[in-house]
Amino acid sequence: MSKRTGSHSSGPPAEAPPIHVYLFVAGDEPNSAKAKAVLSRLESDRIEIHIVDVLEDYEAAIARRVVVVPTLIIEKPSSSLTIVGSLNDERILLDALGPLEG
Amino acid sequence: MGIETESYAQLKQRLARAEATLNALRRGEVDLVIGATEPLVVRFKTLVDEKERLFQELKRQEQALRESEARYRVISELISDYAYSFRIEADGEWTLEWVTGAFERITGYAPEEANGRRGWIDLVHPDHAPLALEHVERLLSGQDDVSEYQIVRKDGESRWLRDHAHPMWDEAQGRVLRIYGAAEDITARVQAETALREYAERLEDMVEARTGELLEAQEQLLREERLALLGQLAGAVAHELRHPLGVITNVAYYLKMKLPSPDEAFSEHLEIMEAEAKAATKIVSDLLEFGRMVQPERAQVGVSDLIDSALEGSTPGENIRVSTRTESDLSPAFVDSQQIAQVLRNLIRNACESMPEGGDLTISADEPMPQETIRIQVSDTGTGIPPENLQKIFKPLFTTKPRGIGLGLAISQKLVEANGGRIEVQSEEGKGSTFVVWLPVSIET
Repeated sequence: MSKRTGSHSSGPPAEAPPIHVYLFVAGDEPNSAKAKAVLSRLESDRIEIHIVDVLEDYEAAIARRVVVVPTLIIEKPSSSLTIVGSLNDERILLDALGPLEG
Repeated sequence: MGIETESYAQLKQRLARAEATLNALRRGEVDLVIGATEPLVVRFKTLVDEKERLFQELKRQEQALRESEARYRVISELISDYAYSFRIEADGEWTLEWVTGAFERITGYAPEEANGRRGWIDLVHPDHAPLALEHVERLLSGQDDVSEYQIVRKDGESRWLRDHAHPMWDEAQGRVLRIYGAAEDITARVQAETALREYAERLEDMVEARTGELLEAQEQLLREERLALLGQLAGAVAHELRHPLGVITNVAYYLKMKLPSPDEAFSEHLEIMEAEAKAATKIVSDLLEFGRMVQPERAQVGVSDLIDSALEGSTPGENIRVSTRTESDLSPAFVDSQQIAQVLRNLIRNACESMPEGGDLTISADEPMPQETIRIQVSDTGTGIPPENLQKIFKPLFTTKPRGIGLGLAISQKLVEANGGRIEVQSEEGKGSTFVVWLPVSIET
Protein backbone atom coordinates (compact mmCIF):
# COMPACT_ATOMS: atom_id res chain seq x y z
CA MET A 1 0.00 0.00 0.00
CA SER A 2 1.44 3.36 -1.07
CA LYS A 3 0.51 6.46 0.87
CA ARG A 4 0.26 10.04 -0.31
CA THR A 5 -0.63 13.02 1.78
CA GLY A 6 -2.10 16.32 0.55
CA SER A 7 -0.37 19.69 0.93
CA HIS A 8 0.16 20.96 4.47
CA SER A 9 0.65 24.64 3.53
CA SER A 10 -2.29 26.00 5.60
CA GLY A 11 -2.18 23.38 8.34
CA PRO A 12 -5.23 21.53 9.75
CA PRO A 13 -7.04 22.56 12.87
CA ALA A 14 -5.90 20.43 15.75
CA GLU A 15 -9.35 19.05 16.57
CA ALA A 16 -10.22 17.81 13.03
CA PRO A 17 -8.85 14.32 12.30
CA PRO A 18 -7.87 13.65 8.63
CA ILE A 19 -10.13 11.73 6.20
CA HIS A 20 -8.53 8.57 4.90
CA VAL A 21 -9.42 7.67 1.35
CA TYR A 22 -8.45 4.33 -0.17
CA LEU A 23 -8.42 4.05 -3.96
CA PHE A 24 -8.23 0.47 -5.20
CA VAL A 25 -6.80 0.38 -8.74
CA ALA A 26 -5.51 -2.15 -11.28
CA GLY A 27 -2.14 -0.86 -12.41
CA ASP A 28 -2.56 1.69 -15.18
CA GLU A 29 -5.74 0.22 -16.69
CA PRO A 30 -7.80 3.09 -18.21
CA ASN A 31 -10.48 3.48 -15.51
CA SER A 32 -7.90 3.13 -12.73
CA ALA A 33 -5.66 5.79 -14.35
CA LYS A 34 -8.65 8.13 -14.71
CA ALA A 35 -9.64 7.70 -11.07
CA LYS A 36 -6.08 8.33 -9.86
CA ALA A 37 -5.91 11.52 -11.96
CA VAL A 38 -9.22 12.83 -10.55
CA LEU A 39 -8.22 12.09 -6.99
CA SER A 40 -4.79 13.70 -7.37
CA ARG A 41 -6.46 17.00 -8.28
CA LEU A 42 -7.99 17.22 -4.79
CA GLU A 43 -5.75 19.27 -2.58
CA SER A 44 -6.62 19.32 1.10
CA ASP A 45 -4.73 18.90 4.38
CA ARG A 46 -7.65 16.96 5.68
CA ILE A 47 -7.34 14.07 3.17
CA GLU A 48 -4.90 11.23 3.35
CA ILE A 49 -4.95 9.30 0.07
CA HIS A 50 -3.98 5.63 -0.02
CA ILE A 51 -3.58 4.02 -3.46
CA VAL A 52 -3.93 0.23 -3.41
CA ASP A 53 -2.91 -1.64 -6.58
CA VAL A 54 -4.79 -4.92 -6.40
CA LEU A 55 -2.54 -6.47 -9.04
CA GLU A 56 0.12 -6.36 -6.32
CA ASP A 57 -2.01 -6.61 -3.17
CA TYR A 58 -5.40 -8.15 -3.85
CA GLU A 59 -5.72 -9.43 -0.28
CA ALA A 60 -6.14 -5.83 0.93
CA ALA A 61 -9.07 -5.56 -1.49
CA ILE A 62 -10.62 -8.78 -0.23
CA ALA A 63 -10.21 -7.59 3.38
CA ARG A 64 -12.06 -4.40 2.45
CA ARG A 65 -14.70 -6.40 0.49
CA VAL A 66 -13.76 -4.64 -2.72
CA VAL A 67 -15.11 -6.68 -5.63
CA VAL A 68 -14.47 -4.38 -8.56
CA VAL A 69 -11.72 -1.93 -9.40
CA PRO A 70 -11.50 1.08 -9.29
CA THR A 71 -13.25 1.55 -5.96
CA LEU A 72 -12.78 4.46 -3.64
CA ILE A 73 -13.48 4.03 0.09
CA ILE A 74 -13.82 7.20 2.11
CA GLU A 75 -13.42 6.64 5.84
CA LYS A 76 -14.75 9.37 8.04
CA PRO A 77 -14.78 9.14 11.81
CA SER A 78 -18.52 8.61 11.84
CA SER A 79 -19.09 6.70 8.64
CA SER A 80 -17.60 5.03 5.60
CA LEU A 81 -18.57 5.73 1.96
CA THR A 82 -17.82 3.79 -1.22
CA ILE A 83 -17.67 5.14 -4.80
CA VAL A 84 -17.26 2.61 -7.59
CA GLY A 85 -15.93 3.53 -11.04
CA SER A 86 -13.54 5.97 -12.66
CA LEU A 87 -14.71 8.95 -10.59
CA ASN A 88 -16.07 10.55 -13.77
CA ASP A 89 -18.55 12.56 -11.79
CA GLU A 90 -16.44 14.79 -9.59
CA ARG A 91 -19.53 16.30 -7.95
CA ILE A 92 -20.43 12.95 -6.34
CA LEU A 93 -16.89 12.69 -5.02
CA LEU A 94 -16.98 16.20 -3.50
CA ASP A 95 -20.38 15.56 -1.90
CA ALA A 96 -19.06 12.36 -0.37
CA LEU A 97 -16.02 14.07 1.06
CA GLY A 98 -18.04 16.93 2.56
CA PRO A 99 -16.52 20.36 3.45
CA LEU A 100 -12.78 19.97 3.33
CA GLU A 101 -11.87 23.37 4.66
CA GLY A 102 -12.33 24.41 8.30
CA MET B 1 -17.29 -9.46 10.74
CA GLY B 2 -19.91 -12.19 10.42
CA ILE B 3 -23.06 -11.65 8.48
CA GLU B 4 -25.21 -12.46 11.53
CA THR B 5 -23.69 -9.64 13.49
CA GLU B 6 -24.11 -7.01 10.75
CA SER B 7 -26.25 -4.08 11.74
CA TYR B 8 -29.00 -2.58 9.62
CA ALA B 9 -26.72 0.35 8.78
CA GLN B 10 -24.01 -2.02 7.60
CA LEU B 11 -26.45 -3.98 5.44
CA LYS B 12 -27.70 -0.77 3.96
CA GLN B 13 -24.16 0.28 3.24
CA ARG B 14 -23.37 -3.04 1.53
CA LEU B 15 -26.52 -2.77 -0.59
CA ALA B 16 -25.58 0.77 -1.65
CA ARG B 17 -22.11 -0.48 -2.55
CA ALA B 18 -23.55 -3.37 -4.57
CA GLU B 19 -25.78 -0.97 -6.50
CA ALA B 20 -22.86 1.38 -7.10
CA THR B 21 -20.83 -1.60 -8.35
CA LEU B 22 -23.53 -2.62 -10.81
CA ASN B 23 -23.90 0.93 -12.10
CA ALA B 24 -20.14 1.25 -12.59
CA LEU B 25 -20.16 -2.05 -14.48
CA ARG B 26 -22.98 -0.78 -16.68
CA ARG B 27 -21.04 2.41 -17.38
CA GLY B 28 -17.92 0.40 -18.25
CA GLU B 29 -15.94 2.21 -15.52
CA VAL B 30 -14.52 -1.02 -14.13
CA ASP B 31 -11.12 -2.52 -14.90
CA LEU B 32 -11.13 -5.63 -12.68
CA VAL B 33 -13.44 -7.97 -10.79
CA ILE B 34 -11.96 -9.62 -7.73
CA GLY B 35 -13.16 -13.05 -6.65
CA ALA B 36 -14.13 -13.55 -3.00
CA THR B 37 -11.63 -16.29 -2.27
CA GLU B 38 -9.30 -16.31 -5.25
CA PRO B 39 -7.40 -13.61 -7.05
CA LEU B 40 -9.72 -13.90 -10.05
CA VAL B 41 -8.98 -10.90 -12.19
CA VAL B 42 -10.99 -10.06 -15.28
CA ARG B 43 -9.55 -7.42 -17.55
CA PHE B 44 -12.57 -5.26 -18.29
CA LYS B 45 -10.62 -3.09 -20.68
CA THR B 46 -10.49 -5.99 -23.11
CA LEU B 47 -14.18 -6.58 -22.64
CA VAL B 48 -15.00 -2.92 -23.12
CA ASP B 49 -12.82 -2.72 -26.20
CA GLU B 50 -14.44 -5.89 -27.52
CA LYS B 51 -17.86 -4.45 -26.72
CA GLU B 52 -16.93 -1.27 -28.57
CA ARG B 53 -15.60 -3.26 -31.51
CA LEU B 54 -18.78 -5.35 -31.58
CA PHE B 55 -20.85 -2.20 -31.26
CA GLN B 56 -19.06 -0.62 -34.24
CA GLU B 57 -19.34 -3.86 -36.23
CA LEU B 58 -23.04 -4.02 -35.39
CA LYS B 59 -23.51 -0.43 -36.49
CA ARG B 60 -21.65 -1.17 -39.75
CA GLN B 61 -23.78 -4.27 -40.38
CA GLU B 62 -26.96 -2.37 -39.58
CA GLN B 63 -25.94 0.31 -42.05
CA ALA B 64 -25.15 -2.33 -44.69
CA LEU B 65 -28.50 -3.96 -44.01
CA ARG B 66 -30.33 -0.65 -44.29
CA GLU B 67 -28.58 0.06 -47.59
CA SER B 68 -29.34 -3.44 -48.84
CA GLU B 69 -32.98 -3.10 -47.82
CA ALA B 70 -33.24 0.26 -49.52
CA ARG B 71 -31.65 -1.19 -52.65
CA TYR B 72 -33.98 -4.19 -52.50
CA ARG B 73 -37.02 -1.93 -52.03
CA VAL B 74 -36.08 0.20 -55.01
CA ILE B 75 -35.38 -2.84 -57.20
CA SER B 76 -38.52 -4.68 -56.13
CA GLU B 77 -40.57 -1.58 -56.94
CA LEU B 78 -38.89 -1.24 -60.31
CA ILE B 79 -39.08 -4.80 -61.62
CA SER B 80 -42.31 -5.83 -63.30
CA ASP B 81 -42.41 -9.35 -61.77
CA TYR B 82 -43.20 -10.02 -58.13
CA ALA B 83 -41.40 -12.34 -55.75
CA TYR B 84 -43.00 -13.91 -52.70
CA SER B 85 -42.46 -16.24 -49.78
CA PHE B 86 -45.16 -18.37 -48.15
CA ARG B 87 -44.57 -20.10 -44.81
CA ILE B 88 -46.39 -23.45 -44.69
CA GLU B 89 -47.75 -24.23 -41.24
CA ALA B 90 -47.98 -27.75 -39.79
CA ASP B 91 -51.78 -27.61 -40.13
CA GLY B 92 -51.44 -26.90 -43.88
CA GLU B 93 -52.32 -23.20 -43.65
CA TRP B 94 -50.18 -20.72 -45.58
CA THR B 95 -48.85 -17.38 -44.37
CA LEU B 96 -47.64 -14.79 -46.86
CA GLU B 97 -44.35 -13.70 -45.23
CA TRP B 98 -43.37 -11.13 -47.79
CA VAL B 99 -44.13 -10.10 -51.33
CA THR B 100 -42.65 -7.39 -53.53
CA GLY B 101 -44.47 -4.26 -54.68
CA ALA B 102 -45.30 -5.53 -58.17
CA PHE B 103 -47.85 -7.90 -56.57
CA GLU B 104 -50.28 -5.05 -55.96
CA ARG B 105 -49.63 -3.59 -59.41
CA ILE B 106 -50.34 -6.92 -61.13
CA THR B 107 -53.25 -8.21 -59.03
CA GLY B 108 -54.79 -4.99 -57.72
CA TYR B 109 -54.88 -6.58 -54.22
CA ALA B 110 -52.92 -5.48 -51.15
CA PRO B 111 -50.67 -8.31 -49.85
CA GLU B 112 -52.81 -8.82 -46.73
CA GLU B 113 -55.85 -9.46 -48.96
CA ALA B 114 -54.13 -12.45 -50.57
CA ASN B 115 -52.90 -14.07 -47.36
CA GLY B 116 -53.35 -17.78 -46.70
CA ARG B 117 -53.74 -20.68 -49.09
CA ARG B 118 -57.39 -19.78 -49.73
CA GLY B 119 -56.48 -16.17 -50.47
CA TRP B 120 -53.96 -17.29 -53.06
CA ILE B 121 -56.31 -19.78 -54.75
CA ASP B 122 -59.11 -17.18 -54.85
CA LEU B 123 -56.88 -15.06 -57.10
CA VAL B 124 -56.83 -17.77 -59.77
CA HIS B 125 -59.38 -17.64 -62.59
CA PRO B 126 -62.07 -20.32 -61.92
CA ASP B 127 -61.29 -22.03 -65.27
CA HIS B 128 -57.64 -22.42 -64.22
CA ALA B 129 -58.21 -23.51 -60.61
CA PRO B 130 -57.48 -27.23 -61.37
CA LEU B 131 -54.21 -26.18 -63.06
CA ALA B 132 -53.22 -24.07 -60.05
CA LEU B 133 -54.05 -26.90 -57.63
CA GLU B 134 -51.79 -29.28 -59.57
CA HIS B 135 -49.05 -26.64 -59.32
CA VAL B 136 -49.54 -26.53 -55.53
CA GLU B 137 -49.49 -30.31 -55.20
CA ARG B 138 -46.17 -30.55 -57.02
CA LEU B 139 -44.70 -27.85 -54.79
CA LEU B 140 -45.93 -29.48 -51.59
CA SER B 141 -44.32 -32.76 -52.69
CA GLY B 142 -41.01 -30.88 -52.79
CA GLN B 143 -40.67 -30.37 -56.55
CA ASP B 144 -39.79 -27.07 -58.24
CA ASP B 145 -42.55 -26.03 -60.61
CA VAL B 146 -43.30 -23.53 -63.36
CA SER B 147 -46.95 -22.97 -64.28
CA GLU B 148 -48.87 -20.56 -66.47
CA TYR B 149 -52.40 -19.65 -65.44
CA GLN B 150 -54.88 -16.83 -65.44
CA ILE B 151 -55.82 -14.73 -62.43
CA VAL B 152 -58.69 -12.31 -61.96
CA ARG B 153 -57.60 -8.86 -60.79
CA LYS B 154 -59.50 -7.00 -58.09
CA ASP B 155 -61.06 -4.84 -60.84
CA GLY B 156 -62.29 -8.04 -62.62
CA GLU B 157 -59.76 -7.96 -65.45
CA SER B 158 -58.00 -11.24 -66.32
CA ARG B 159 -54.20 -11.44 -66.41
CA TRP B 160 -51.87 -14.32 -67.37
CA LEU B 161 -49.10 -15.25 -64.90
CA ARG B 162 -46.02 -17.43 -65.28
CA ASP B 163 -45.23 -18.65 -61.76
CA HIS B 164 -41.78 -20.14 -60.98
CA ALA B 165 -41.73 -21.59 -57.48
CA HIS B 166 -39.21 -23.39 -55.29
CA PRO B 167 -40.23 -25.26 -52.12
CA MET B 168 -37.91 -25.61 -49.07
CA TRP B 169 -38.15 -29.21 -47.89
CA ASP B 170 -37.45 -30.05 -44.26
CA GLU B 171 -36.08 -33.57 -43.76
CA ALA B 172 -36.77 -33.63 -40.01
CA GLN B 173 -40.45 -32.77 -40.40
CA GLY B 174 -40.83 -34.52 -43.76
CA ARG B 175 -42.67 -31.61 -45.32
CA VAL B 176 -42.29 -28.28 -47.09
CA LEU B 177 -41.77 -25.37 -44.70
CA ARG B 178 -41.62 -22.52 -47.21
CA ILE B 179 -42.35 -21.76 -50.82
CA TYR B 180 -40.34 -19.08 -52.56
CA GLY B 181 -41.53 -17.91 -55.95
CA ALA B 182 -41.57 -15.28 -58.63
CA ALA B 183 -44.55 -14.50 -60.85
CA GLU B 184 -44.29 -12.80 -64.19
CA ASP B 185 -47.17 -11.03 -65.96
CA ILE B 186 -47.23 -12.67 -69.41
CA THR B 187 -50.61 -11.30 -70.53
CA ALA B 188 -49.15 -9.34 -73.45
CA ARG B 189 -47.24 -12.39 -74.69
CA VAL B 190 -50.30 -14.68 -74.44
CA GLN B 191 -52.49 -12.11 -76.21
CA ALA B 192 -49.93 -11.79 -78.99
CA GLU B 193 -49.77 -15.58 -79.36
CA THR B 194 -53.58 -15.82 -79.48
CA ALA B 195 -53.79 -13.05 -82.07
CA LEU B 196 -51.12 -14.79 -84.13
CA ARG B 197 -52.94 -18.12 -83.92
CA GLU B 198 -56.24 -16.50 -84.96
CA TYR B 199 -54.48 -14.72 -87.79
CA ALA B 200 -52.92 -18.01 -88.94
CA GLU B 201 -56.37 -19.65 -88.93
CA ARG B 202 -57.87 -16.75 -90.85
CA LEU B 203 -54.97 -16.97 -93.28
CA GLU B 204 -55.73 -20.66 -93.83
CA ASP B 205 -59.37 -19.76 -94.57
CA MET B 206 -58.23 -17.06 -96.95
CA VAL B 207 -55.88 -19.46 -98.70
CA GLU B 208 -58.69 -22.01 -98.97
CA ALA B 209 -61.07 -19.42 -100.40
CA ARG B 210 -58.43 -18.20 -102.83
CA THR B 211 -57.68 -21.79 -103.87
CA GLY B 212 -61.40 -22.25 -104.58
CA GLU B 213 -61.40 -19.08 -106.69
CA LEU B 214 -58.35 -20.28 -108.59
CA LEU B 215 -59.91 -23.70 -109.22
CA GLU B 216 -63.07 -21.99 -110.45
CA ALA B 217 -60.97 -19.72 -112.68
CA GLN B 218 -59.10 -22.73 -113.99
CA GLU B 219 -62.37 -24.49 -114.80
CA GLN B 220 -63.60 -21.35 -116.52
CA LEU B 221 -60.39 -21.22 -118.53
CA LEU B 222 -60.77 -24.86 -119.55
CA ARG B 223 -64.36 -24.22 -120.56
CA GLU B 224 -63.30 -21.20 -122.58
CA GLU B 225 -60.55 -23.22 -124.25
CA ARG B 226 -63.09 -25.90 -125.11
CA LEU B 227 -65.40 -23.21 -126.42
CA ALA B 228 -62.69 -21.66 -128.56
CA LEU B 229 -61.88 -25.08 -129.98
CA LEU B 230 -65.58 -25.70 -130.44
CA GLY B 231 -65.93 -22.38 -132.27
CA GLN B 232 -63.16 -23.37 -134.67
CA LEU B 233 -64.61 -26.83 -135.25
CA ALA B 234 -68.21 -25.67 -135.37
CA GLY B 235 -67.98 -23.84 -138.67
CA ALA B 236 -66.20 -26.68 -140.43
CA VAL B 237 -68.30 -29.51 -138.96
CA ALA B 238 -71.62 -27.71 -139.33
CA HIS B 239 -70.83 -26.84 -142.89
CA GLU B 240 -70.00 -30.46 -143.64
CA LEU B 241 -73.12 -31.80 -141.88
CA ARG B 242 -75.69 -29.30 -143.08
CA HIS B 243 -75.63 -30.61 -146.64
CA PRO B 244 -76.06 -34.35 -145.85
CA LEU B 245 -78.78 -33.50 -143.31
CA GLY B 246 -80.62 -31.53 -145.99
CA VAL B 247 -80.31 -34.51 -148.32
CA ILE B 248 -81.72 -36.88 -145.65
CA THR B 249 -84.67 -34.56 -145.01
CA ASN B 250 -85.37 -34.28 -148.73
CA VAL B 251 -85.13 -38.04 -149.22
CA ALA B 252 -87.59 -38.64 -146.40
CA TYR B 253 -89.98 -36.12 -147.94
CA TYR B 254 -89.55 -37.71 -151.39
CA LEU B 255 -90.27 -41.21 -150.05
CA LYS B 256 -93.42 -39.99 -148.26
CA MET B 257 -94.63 -38.41 -151.48
CA LYS B 258 -93.78 -41.33 -153.79
CA LEU B 259 -95.22 -44.12 -151.63
CA PRO B 260 -98.98 -43.39 -151.61
CA SER B 261 -99.97 -46.15 -149.18
CA PRO B 262 -97.00 -47.31 -147.13
CA ASP B 263 -97.60 -49.69 -144.26
CA GLU B 264 -97.75 -48.33 -140.71
CA ALA B 265 -94.28 -49.41 -139.66
CA PHE B 266 -92.74 -47.89 -142.75
CA SER B 267 -94.47 -44.52 -142.09
CA GLU B 268 -93.40 -44.58 -138.45
CA HIS B 269 -89.77 -45.07 -139.41
CA LEU B 270 -89.97 -42.24 -141.95
CA GLU B 271 -91.35 -39.96 -139.19
CA ILE B 272 -88.45 -40.95 -136.92
CA MET B 273 -86.01 -40.24 -139.72
CA GLU B 274 -87.49 -36.79 -140.30
CA ALA B 275 -87.55 -35.93 -136.56
CA GLU B 276 -83.94 -37.05 -136.00
CA ALA B 277 -82.78 -35.14 -139.04
CA LYS B 278 -84.57 -32.06 -137.71
CA ALA B 279 -82.95 -32.42 -134.27
CA ALA B 280 -79.54 -32.85 -135.87
CA THR B 281 -80.15 -29.75 -137.98
CA LYS B 282 -80.95 -27.79 -134.80
CA ILE B 283 -77.66 -28.81 -133.21
CA VAL B 284 -75.79 -27.86 -136.34
CA SER B 285 -77.51 -24.46 -136.40
CA ASP B 286 -76.66 -23.83 -132.74
CA LEU B 287 -73.04 -24.70 -133.39
CA LEU B 288 -72.91 -22.39 -136.35
CA GLU B 289 -74.66 -19.62 -134.43
CA PHE B 290 -72.31 -19.93 -131.46
CA GLY B 291 -69.23 -19.97 -133.66
CA ARG B 292 -70.35 -17.00 -135.73
CA MET B 293 -72.19 -14.70 -133.35
CA VAL B 294 -72.94 -12.01 -135.89
CA GLN B 295 -73.27 -8.38 -134.85
CA PRO B 296 -76.94 -7.48 -134.29
CA GLU B 297 -78.63 -5.19 -136.78
CA ARG B 298 -80.87 -3.27 -134.37
CA ALA B 299 -84.03 -1.41 -135.30
CA GLN B 300 -87.34 -0.48 -133.66
CA VAL B 301 -89.48 -3.62 -133.56
CA GLY B 302 -93.02 -4.11 -132.26
CA VAL B 303 -93.03 -6.46 -129.27
CA SER B 304 -96.16 -8.33 -130.42
CA ASP B 305 -94.53 -8.93 -133.79
CA LEU B 306 -91.50 -10.40 -132.03
CA ILE B 307 -93.67 -12.79 -130.02
CA ASP B 308 -95.81 -13.77 -133.00
CA SER B 309 -92.72 -14.43 -135.08
CA ALA B 310 -91.31 -16.65 -132.33
CA LEU B 311 -94.55 -18.59 -131.93
CA GLU B 312 -94.86 -19.13 -135.68
CA GLY B 313 -91.54 -20.91 -135.76
CA SER B 314 -92.44 -23.11 -132.77
CA THR B 315 -94.51 -26.28 -132.52
CA PRO B 316 -95.74 -26.75 -128.96
CA GLY B 317 -96.96 -30.27 -128.10
CA GLU B 318 -100.57 -31.27 -128.17
CA ASN B 319 -101.34 -30.98 -124.48
CA ILE B 320 -99.76 -27.56 -124.06
CA ARG B 321 -102.07 -24.57 -123.77
CA VAL B 322 -100.41 -21.44 -125.11
CA SER B 323 -101.59 -17.99 -124.05
CA THR B 324 -100.12 -14.54 -124.67
CA ARG B 325 -100.73 -11.35 -122.71
CA THR B 326 -99.30 -8.23 -124.25
CA GLU B 327 -100.04 -4.78 -122.86
CA SER B 328 -101.41 -2.37 -125.40
CA ASP B 329 -99.41 0.67 -126.52
CA LEU B 330 -96.03 -0.85 -125.59
CA SER B 331 -93.03 1.06 -126.87
CA PRO B 332 -91.19 -0.71 -129.66
CA ALA B 333 -88.00 -2.54 -128.64
CA PHE B 334 -84.73 -1.47 -130.20
CA VAL B 335 -83.24 -4.87 -131.15
CA ASP B 336 -82.25 -7.21 -133.99
CA SER B 337 -85.69 -8.82 -134.59
CA GLN B 338 -84.30 -12.07 -136.00
CA GLN B 339 -81.92 -12.60 -133.08
CA ILE B 340 -84.53 -11.85 -130.39
CA ALA B 341 -87.14 -14.02 -132.16
CA GLN B 342 -84.55 -16.82 -132.09
CA VAL B 343 -84.09 -16.25 -128.35
CA LEU B 344 -87.83 -16.42 -127.73
CA ARG B 345 -88.09 -19.59 -129.85
CA ASN B 346 -85.33 -21.15 -127.73
CA LEU B 347 -87.21 -20.26 -124.54
CA ILE B 348 -90.51 -21.56 -125.92
CA ARG B 349 -88.89 -24.87 -126.96
CA ASN B 350 -87.27 -25.28 -123.54
CA ALA B 351 -90.61 -24.54 -121.84
CA CYS B 352 -92.39 -27.14 -123.96
CA GLU B 353 -89.67 -29.72 -123.32
CA SER B 354 -90.06 -29.20 -119.55
CA MET B 355 -93.75 -30.17 -119.85
CA PRO B 356 -93.69 -33.65 -121.50
CA GLU B 357 -97.08 -34.42 -119.95
CA GLY B 358 -98.53 -31.07 -121.06
CA GLY B 359 -99.21 -27.78 -119.22
CA ASP B 360 -99.55 -24.04 -119.63
CA LEU B 361 -97.15 -21.90 -121.65
CA THR B 362 -97.67 -18.18 -121.03
CA ILE B 363 -95.89 -15.39 -122.87
CA SER B 364 -96.45 -11.89 -121.54
CA ALA B 365 -94.98 -8.49 -122.26
CA ASP B 366 -95.12 -5.22 -120.34
CA GLU B 367 -93.15 -2.00 -119.81
CA PRO B 368 -92.34 -1.58 -116.08
CA MET B 369 -90.21 1.51 -116.76
CA PRO B 370 -91.97 3.42 -119.54
CA GLN B 371 -89.73 4.49 -122.43
CA GLU B 372 -86.86 2.51 -120.96
CA THR B 373 -87.24 -1.27 -120.95
CA ILE B 374 -89.62 -3.90 -122.24
CA ARG B 375 -90.09 -7.08 -120.19
CA ILE B 376 -91.04 -10.33 -121.95
CA GLN B 377 -91.72 -13.33 -119.69
CA VAL B 378 -91.91 -16.92 -120.88
CA SER B 379 -93.51 -19.11 -118.16
CA ASP B 380 -94.23 -22.81 -118.00
CA THR B 381 -95.81 -25.16 -115.48
CA GLY B 382 -93.15 -27.82 -116.03
CA THR B 383 -90.62 -29.64 -113.88
CA GLY B 384 -88.68 -26.55 -112.81
CA ILE B 385 -84.95 -26.22 -112.28
CA PRO B 386 -83.15 -27.43 -109.10
CA PRO B 387 -81.58 -24.49 -107.16
CA GLU B 388 -78.05 -25.87 -107.62
CA ASN B 389 -78.47 -25.66 -111.42
CA LEU B 390 -79.95 -22.13 -111.56
CA GLN B 391 -76.51 -20.47 -111.61
CA LYS B 392 -75.21 -22.78 -114.30
CA ILE B 393 -77.92 -22.92 -116.91
CA PHE B 394 -76.59 -19.96 -118.93
CA LYS B 395 -73.09 -21.45 -119.07
CA PRO B 396 -72.07 -22.97 -122.39
CA LEU B 397 -72.01 -26.80 -122.56
CA PHE B 398 -74.20 -27.13 -119.46
CA THR B 399 -77.24 -29.29 -120.12
CA THR B 400 -79.61 -31.60 -118.27
CA LYS B 401 -81.26 -32.84 -121.44
CA PRO B 402 -80.58 -36.40 -122.64
CA ARG B 403 -80.05 -35.00 -126.11
CA GLY B 404 -78.43 -31.59 -126.42
CA ILE B 405 -75.04 -29.99 -126.16
CA GLY B 406 -75.92 -27.12 -123.80
CA LEU B 407 -75.65 -24.16 -126.12
CA GLY B 408 -79.28 -22.98 -126.36
CA LEU B 409 -79.45 -20.75 -123.26
CA ALA B 410 -75.81 -19.68 -123.62
CA ILE B 411 -76.54 -18.43 -127.12
CA SER B 412 -79.79 -16.79 -125.92
CA GLN B 413 -77.94 -14.89 -123.22
CA LYS B 414 -75.21 -13.79 -125.61
CA LEU B 415 -77.77 -12.58 -128.14
CA VAL B 416 -79.86 -10.67 -125.57
CA GLU B 417 -76.75 -8.99 -124.13
CA ALA B 418 -75.48 -8.15 -127.62
CA ASN B 419 -78.81 -6.35 -128.09
CA GLY B 420 -78.40 -4.25 -124.92
CA GLY B 421 -80.72 -6.38 -122.78
CA ARG B 422 -80.43 -9.07 -120.14
CA ILE B 423 -82.02 -12.40 -119.33
CA GLU B 424 -83.02 -13.84 -115.92
CA VAL B 425 -84.69 -16.95 -114.64
CA GLN B 426 -86.96 -17.74 -111.68
CA SER B 427 -87.89 -21.34 -111.01
CA GLU B 428 -89.41 -23.63 -108.44
CA GLU B 429 -88.89 -27.34 -108.70
CA GLY B 430 -92.12 -29.17 -109.60
CA LYS B 431 -94.00 -25.91 -110.27
CA GLY B 432 -92.31 -24.44 -113.32
CA SER B 433 -89.98 -21.74 -114.52
CA THR B 434 -90.19 -18.19 -115.81
CA PHE B 435 -87.52 -16.73 -118.10
CA VAL B 436 -87.50 -12.93 -118.14
CA VAL B 437 -86.01 -11.03 -121.07
CA TRP B 438 -85.38 -7.31 -120.63
CA LEU B 439 -85.04 -5.39 -123.87
CA PRO B 440 -84.06 -1.76 -124.45
CA VAL B 441 -86.55 0.70 -125.84
CA SER B 442 -84.22 3.33 -127.21
CA ILE B 443 -80.79 3.26 -128.75
CA GLU B 444 -79.21 4.79 -125.67
CA THR B 445 -79.95 1.95 -123.26
